[in-house]
Amino acid sequence: METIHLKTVDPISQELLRSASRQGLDLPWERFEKLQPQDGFLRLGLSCPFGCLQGPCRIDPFGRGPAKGVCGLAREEMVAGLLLRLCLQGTMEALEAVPSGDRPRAIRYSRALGAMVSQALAKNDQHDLSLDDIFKSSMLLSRPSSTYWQLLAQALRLSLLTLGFQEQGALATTAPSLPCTAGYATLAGRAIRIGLCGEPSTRLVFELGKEVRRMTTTPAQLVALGSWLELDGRFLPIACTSGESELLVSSGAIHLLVAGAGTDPGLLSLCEKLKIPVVVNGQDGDAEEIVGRARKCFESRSQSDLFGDAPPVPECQVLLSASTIVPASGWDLTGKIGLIGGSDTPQLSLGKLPADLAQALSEKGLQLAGWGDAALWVLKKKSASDETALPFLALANRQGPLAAVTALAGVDKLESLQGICFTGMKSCLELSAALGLAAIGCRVSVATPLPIQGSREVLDALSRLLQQNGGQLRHSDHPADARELTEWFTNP
Amino acid sequence: MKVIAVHLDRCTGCKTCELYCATERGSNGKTLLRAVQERPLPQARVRVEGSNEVPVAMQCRQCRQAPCLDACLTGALRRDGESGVVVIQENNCIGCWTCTLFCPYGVIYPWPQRKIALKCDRCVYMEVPVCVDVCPTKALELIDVDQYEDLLRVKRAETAADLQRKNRLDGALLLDLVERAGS
Ligand code: SF4
Ligand code: SF4
Ligand code: SF4
Repeated sequence: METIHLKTVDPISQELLRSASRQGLDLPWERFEKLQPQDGFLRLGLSCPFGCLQGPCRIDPFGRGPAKGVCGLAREEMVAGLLLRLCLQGTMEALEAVPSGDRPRAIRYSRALGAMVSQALAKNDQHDLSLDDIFKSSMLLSRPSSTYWQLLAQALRLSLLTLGFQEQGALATTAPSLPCTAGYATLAGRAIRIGLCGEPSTRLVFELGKEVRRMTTTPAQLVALGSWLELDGRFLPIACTSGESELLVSSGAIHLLVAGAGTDPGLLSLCEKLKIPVVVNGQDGDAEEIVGRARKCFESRSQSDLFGDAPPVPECQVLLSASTIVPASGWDLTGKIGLIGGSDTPQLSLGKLPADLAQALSEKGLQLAGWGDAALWVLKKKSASDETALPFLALANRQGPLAAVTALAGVDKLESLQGICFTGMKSCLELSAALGLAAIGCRVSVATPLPIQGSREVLDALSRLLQQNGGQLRHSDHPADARELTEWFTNP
Repeated sequence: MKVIAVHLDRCTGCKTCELYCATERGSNGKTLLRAVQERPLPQARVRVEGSNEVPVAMQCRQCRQAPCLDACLTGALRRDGESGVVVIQENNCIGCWTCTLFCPYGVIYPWPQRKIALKCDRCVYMEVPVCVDVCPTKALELIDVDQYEDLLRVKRAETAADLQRKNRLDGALLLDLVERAGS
């Protein structure tokens, strides 16, 4: 209990944590603590990632135990192979977000991104990307027969492919921006609440929206739990960040959970424990019936207004399209720009790094934009503090920083971008995109350790490959704090 | 006197104990990700041996009559009065490794890069030994040697109860008698 302030900086979340602890509920932090220390070989990248059943083979990082796998695979190739495997996963995730009708035969880039990708490939003597790169990468990962250089070069190709898919998977809307509200204050008042998590189907969100609007006797509401979901020309209210989802569900304020693709199993078992109905993506059923189940759950609970006093977060406009970011942002392009974003991680106190970093960078005169959980934290801080509002723009989560990067490149002002910081990572997509951004020449920093620390040679080779195009991927052996990241941003 | 007991039935051979022993006790960085970049490479004082079927974590048994202590030429090995643990005073160790030849378990190791011998001192200055703390299956446990008898009593009781649950013939099977009688 005494470590609650280390888990999250949000006072309401801290209160919810206390109450969850009284109820004996198992939340991500407890699970994370029980898992300490996590598998050291995997954390270092020294557990073989190849598709092989002779293993599992692991390499002793301290040199007394095995130095090679059964097949003779050495430490460098093992680490580089893991990076390739993670990037392959990330690329597939990015491809999944491209609408299936649009699934490309060839990759289509915007002019700005296309030029950056071509330059990155040319600098590393690489030929054009194609969808075959996905197949080639899986084959490279079936048996280890390539050098670590080849594996790294392929990982970089995939990361560039990831950027292309991310661009093609952008939200299908012509609006330059969409309004969004966030924070626990979106839950003020009594209402039947349906929480949406992960990536539920657009059709289901639309149908539920229609049904909810019909409810007149008892108001009903759709709220997103850490997801950025569009409905009727705005984002659904985002009640909490992804890291707080279980916490919010544990409060009893959600009366039905729609578990879209990517929902954590912990959330499902929590709902089961608390007898909160769940609708799993793909087994949607009828919207009317779903809302009916939520109502039943609502009626069976005591209805206190848990979040009546939550500080309201001002509505923000989330910038969507690269072509309109520059005019809409009001950025002074002769000044400095910093991008911060990424997912919550239990490795760091939720919200602390994004909020502290945004504050520090703003004081140093950087103009800021961000995406994902990190952006939500900065927005929450804006409301909580009485200080003059922190200037901060929200970017669409799907593309993360990519839209801002291509927007700046489009007006030939990429040099004003000081850096891009991922304050936390949850998915391989984030890793692959971070690597892709570094490959096109951006300075990218990841605040949490990446699982490739097991080989100095691979780390050095990766830096050299990225440097050839002026890019950088900073990461380290410990979760970074705002001070060191501010230093990194301000001293290129 | 407290020693580290190894529950053979619980050890999965994951080597977490090795990694974190080397990190916490052998590195300057004190985190795994830093430790692997250090030179000379940190070394663990516990080693996991055996096979997939029976992995065994092995560290110094802190023998009551320790051959290593008697073998040490310079007096670098000594028994800590309070804890009873055999500790090595690195400054006095000349790296002759005589002790390593005398240890019946092979758990005091030469460390050529630093020219000293290396052994488990049960993390005597810490509340809980690192390996005990990190073992994901609780295969390692810090126990008082005086509790041995209690532990063995529990084991005997468990075995007796097990036999009672089965029929007597199974008990004979346990001793490998039936098959032999048949052969
Ligand atoms: S590919 Fe080689 S190192 Fe990997 S599991 Fe198979 S034999 Fe072991
Ligand atoms: S950490 Fe525990 S389970 Fe793993 S090898 Fe060591 S003693 Fe065995
Ligand atoms: S190092 Fe070997 S001989 Fe010395 S006390 Fe430990 S187990 Fe006994």
